[in-house]
Amino acid sequence: MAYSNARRPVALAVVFGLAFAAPAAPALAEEGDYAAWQTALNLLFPPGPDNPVRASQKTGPYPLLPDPSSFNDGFNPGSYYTWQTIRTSPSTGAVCGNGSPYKFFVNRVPHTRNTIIYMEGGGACWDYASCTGQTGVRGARNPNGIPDDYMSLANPGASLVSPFVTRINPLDTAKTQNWNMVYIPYCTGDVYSGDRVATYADPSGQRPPLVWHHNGLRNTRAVVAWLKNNLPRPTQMLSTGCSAGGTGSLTGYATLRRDLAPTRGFLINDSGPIFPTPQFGDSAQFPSVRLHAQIRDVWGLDAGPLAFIKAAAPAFDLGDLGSIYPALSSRFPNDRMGHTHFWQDQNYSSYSYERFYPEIAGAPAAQKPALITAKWSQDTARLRASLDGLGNVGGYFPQFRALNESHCTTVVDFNNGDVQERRLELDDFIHSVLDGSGAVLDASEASDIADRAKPLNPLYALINLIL
Amino acid sequence: MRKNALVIGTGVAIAAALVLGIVWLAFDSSSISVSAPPMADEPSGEPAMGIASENHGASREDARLEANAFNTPTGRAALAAHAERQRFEKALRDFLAGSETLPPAERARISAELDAQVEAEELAQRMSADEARMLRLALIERGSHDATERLRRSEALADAYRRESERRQRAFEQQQATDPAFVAYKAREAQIVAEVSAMRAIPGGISRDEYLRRRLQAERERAYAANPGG
Repeated sequence: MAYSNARRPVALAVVFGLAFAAPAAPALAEEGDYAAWQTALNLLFPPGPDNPVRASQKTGPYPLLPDPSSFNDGFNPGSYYTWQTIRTSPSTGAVCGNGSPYKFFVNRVPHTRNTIIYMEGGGACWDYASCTGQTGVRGARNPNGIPDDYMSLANPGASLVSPFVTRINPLDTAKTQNWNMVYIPYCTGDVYSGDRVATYADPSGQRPPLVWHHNGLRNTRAVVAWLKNNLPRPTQMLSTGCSAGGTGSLTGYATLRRDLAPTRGFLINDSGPIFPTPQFGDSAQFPSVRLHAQIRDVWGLDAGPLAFIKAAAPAFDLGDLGSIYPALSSRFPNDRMGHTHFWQDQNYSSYSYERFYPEIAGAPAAQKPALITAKWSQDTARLRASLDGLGNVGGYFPQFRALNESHCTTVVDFNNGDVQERRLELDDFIHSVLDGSGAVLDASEASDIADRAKPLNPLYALINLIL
Repeated sequence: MRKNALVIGTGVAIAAALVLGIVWLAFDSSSISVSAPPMADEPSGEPAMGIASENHGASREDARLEANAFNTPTGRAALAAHAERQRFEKALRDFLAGSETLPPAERARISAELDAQVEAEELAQRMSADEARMLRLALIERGSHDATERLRRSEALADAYRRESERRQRAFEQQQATDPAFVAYKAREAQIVAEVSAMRAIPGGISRDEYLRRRLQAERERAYAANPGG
């Protein structure tokens, strides 16, 4: 784009003014940041889209369908630093699990094109009990849809806010804190990957069947279409999230990256692993095989979503969902990607095995963690070995954190995700992904003894109390 | 008093800068070119459409209009708001990073001031509830020497956020239950599911699941078009 010379005096004048008015303005030196004078102009003349949806992208499988021009999405381009609720029209195909309108949230800044796409975590569901949020069964976030003022709710589950999506964090800094933020909430129970309207019968027969829209893939496409038509193309883009959001970041990366077309792409999957697992493998050897079979069926993955990923990342093997890591590695060799989770995770692991293995489901509560961890370790070891062979995809596996069942390494803070034997902190891994060069860091911790010996963390104690 | 002086000083500085800039408009200057960064995976085929509101081929008249825009109440307010946000962020970061060097009374005072500002930013939706709660917990931690007092205030704060969130969630669910578009759609949803399940053949050469999805989407489009406020 060309910038008219006639604007320079105005811009410089404004910068001059800001020099007095904003002595605290942070130094902006990132690739993708606007110059100070452009930032000032952006305050009054917000930059618009420069990579809008093309006609060819509005057709074919999972098209990018923008809102009709008459639809009020609620966006105010000049409202910087504000969490804006973006509504989607039904014609985009977006919808929450219960059939209510899908919404997402944008917080833009005037000083950069760089953008973080954060997918919210929140479990998963694949039957009546889990999709209705029945007590005692691990289910999925937001079964009743997304409130307009969602960012003003401090839900117990959402209290695990990540330093990635805060502007000011008392504990950690990350360069994404200065970026445009897109917060994608979760309401479909399908790790942002499904495409099927399921009908789940009430096992008790007392209530009518539950109609549930596992519509995550189409929701993500609606977000992409909106971003292309409303914001500048990112120069740097980080796609990340924890748990279900991590999985969604992984499954959605190839198409997100292709369509938003950032100059530099980054992916961090926090605790949403898709383990290497042949579709018809032996469950003794591949513990996630039963979970994969279940979700392929009820989320409709074989009817379109998996082929859609493969079209964007050809090395993806439809017979092994875990092949997505090498597929992304080869498709985007210049992107930097990472996967991280704790060896002692008791949350995603529980989703993965507890309801699929009667010997775990029926075990006394005190014995379940060890049974779950045994299978999780088996799967994690295989994933770790797979990632070790990929230069641009790092694997970072600390042992234990006394917070949230050791689930998600990047929520609340980046502390206590250390690998003591190599004197590494989680921050080292994140910086390796976002700022490093050469191979992305791989690290794994062998023992949880040092982690469990740490003194009580008062902040974690308080958060566990809130939870 | 100090704050008023600062605001006045800032206004004077901005006004002076604007005057200088507008005067400078009388002079030609050499061109400045800023290129958009390259796309890593440039889509092939159709060219991308033009930039909607970035400064593409702006004219001298455009520049004058922009200069005028900065010299309007809206323009001045935008600049002042941006400057204020930068100042707030720096003050907060500085305090969180260096509060231990301050005398206890000063720590408590600044902590209270920043807490009020965080609350104001949250109310203005420039901070999520989660971010604000985390910051306010940190301000309690940094602002007081008394561990018992810190715990009491932290628990009270967490409880207040919990209650407010529950209230908002209840309000949302009540609103949704009476939203005419949603109610109309849900009434038809179960009927359509039953109807499609009973169909012996699916038209259009598509799967039953895809047919059902399309029928339900069409129903949502109808319901929300008929009830645009929904």
